[in-house]
Amino acid sequence: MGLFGLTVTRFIRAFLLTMLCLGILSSLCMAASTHELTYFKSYETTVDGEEVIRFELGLNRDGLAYKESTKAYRPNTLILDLDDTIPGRLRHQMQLSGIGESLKVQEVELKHTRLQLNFTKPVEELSYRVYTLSENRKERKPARLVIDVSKRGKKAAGSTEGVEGHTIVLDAGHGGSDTGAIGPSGLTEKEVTLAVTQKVRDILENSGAHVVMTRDSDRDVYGVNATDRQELQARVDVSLREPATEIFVSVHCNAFSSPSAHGVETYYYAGSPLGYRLAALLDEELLREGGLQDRGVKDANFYVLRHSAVPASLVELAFITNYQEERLLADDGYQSGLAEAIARAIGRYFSGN
Amino acid sequence: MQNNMKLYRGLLLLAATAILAVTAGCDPQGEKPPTAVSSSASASVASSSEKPSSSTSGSKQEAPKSVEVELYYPDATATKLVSVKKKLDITKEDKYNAAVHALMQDPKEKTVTGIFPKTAKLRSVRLQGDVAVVDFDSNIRKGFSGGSTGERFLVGSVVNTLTNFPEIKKVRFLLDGKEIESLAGHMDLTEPVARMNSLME
Repeated sequence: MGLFGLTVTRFIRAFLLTMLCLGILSSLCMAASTHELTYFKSYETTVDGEEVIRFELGLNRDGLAYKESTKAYRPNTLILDLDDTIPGRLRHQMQLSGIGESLKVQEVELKHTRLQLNFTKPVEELSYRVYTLSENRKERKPARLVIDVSKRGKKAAGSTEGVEGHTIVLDAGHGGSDTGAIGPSGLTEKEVTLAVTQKVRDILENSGAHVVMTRDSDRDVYGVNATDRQELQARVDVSLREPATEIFVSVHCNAFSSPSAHGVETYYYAGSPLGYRLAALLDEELLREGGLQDRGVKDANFYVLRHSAVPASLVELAFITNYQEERLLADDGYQSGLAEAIARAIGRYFSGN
Repeated sequence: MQNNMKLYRGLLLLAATAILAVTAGCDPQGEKPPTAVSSSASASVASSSEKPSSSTSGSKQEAPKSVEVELYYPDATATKLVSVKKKLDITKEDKYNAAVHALMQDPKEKTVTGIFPKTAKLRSVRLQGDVAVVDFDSNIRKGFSGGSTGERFLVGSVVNTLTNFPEIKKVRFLLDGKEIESLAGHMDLTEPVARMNSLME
């Protein structure tokens, strides 16, 4: 027994040691590539002037890839699938209060974590945004996954007459790698056009219209490094893909080399009487709402107007390069007013008055 | 692992070749030879030593040193283009290049304003039939104010200044020698632009 037993013991010891090393190695590897949830909290905050409930999950590292989805049979649940992520020590089921009812955290497959955020209302009635925030050493904040839910909700948007049943394509000018014009205090055209266009969308949808957006986030429509033609054609293509499209409205902020240029202008493509009518109504409503100088309804050889298959107009809300108008364009309330004006003009276009 | 490395290298090589192939075929201009532009027949020549001379002694005729040209600048609030008469030195370059170069400098007149970014450079202006081909470097995009109005007035100031020469009917814009589709993402510049009279009202 003696010698044999010793060999076996040694063998077992060596084996265990090897396994331990392997274990440490593999956990090191995992730490180097896998994300781990570190905490969850929810609180109220303000984002771009809008009050939101924030659901925040801490992560041990940046670079999280996730997919967002909903299921028709569970309309109140927002599902987030996190690639290469383990739940860590996060509790599997949490009761929440307010708009969020509960959060379920599950490692559904090895290193694949699913979050199910249950709300008190159907997800499609909420105005929310999911995004990641990078680690911020200065502020001592880790990488985070954030779900911001607006306290107002989508249904709080106003409504307008005359658009029910109509299909409208809205184009938020520029975006992604193309900031568009930049104001003296740094406001970018792409953020204003997106904010206003989203507000127009909410009002129109709230009034029973079908709205297609060329972009609904800060992105290039065709892609980064696209040629101008590819990028602009991609916006036109959005309306071509939706055969029911009746009109195309592109929202922009104007700019000029001298800060004294100011006011509103709307554009149409020469030879399109309906395009002119749309541009004229938009100009009229924007002036009435915003109180800026009327620079007129103009025809121009603009790409998205020329290549549009439906009546189209491009609106220049105001000059972002003018100090006063830049301040107005940055204001959430002013943006909402302009959005209502655009929605009213579209309603008048369809109802013929 | 070894196999993987080989595969990666192969893919990289393939990608590099593809990029080369794409960029090699990327010169849409097709190297059209520039037409010589020395004619000054139609401009109002204001040479100091202009003498009436017979057409046969053309070689002995002294070339005019300057020419008076109407330049179109936007007014400060960008409501219209305003013409400003300027005498341009044409001893070092032809009047078309001189005119666009002058446009790119901020005007001293209080009634008008410059629209070009300061870093922008003109590469050349040449004639192809009745189309002036104006080639800027890409800095014209980097420092540009943008905006529909900014874009229309920059394009309009060049087009209306050059189409003031009766031999020029339209203007085509290039950037670094390549054709462009737009300058600031509004105007369709895929075709040569005719005089923009709407900016003169």
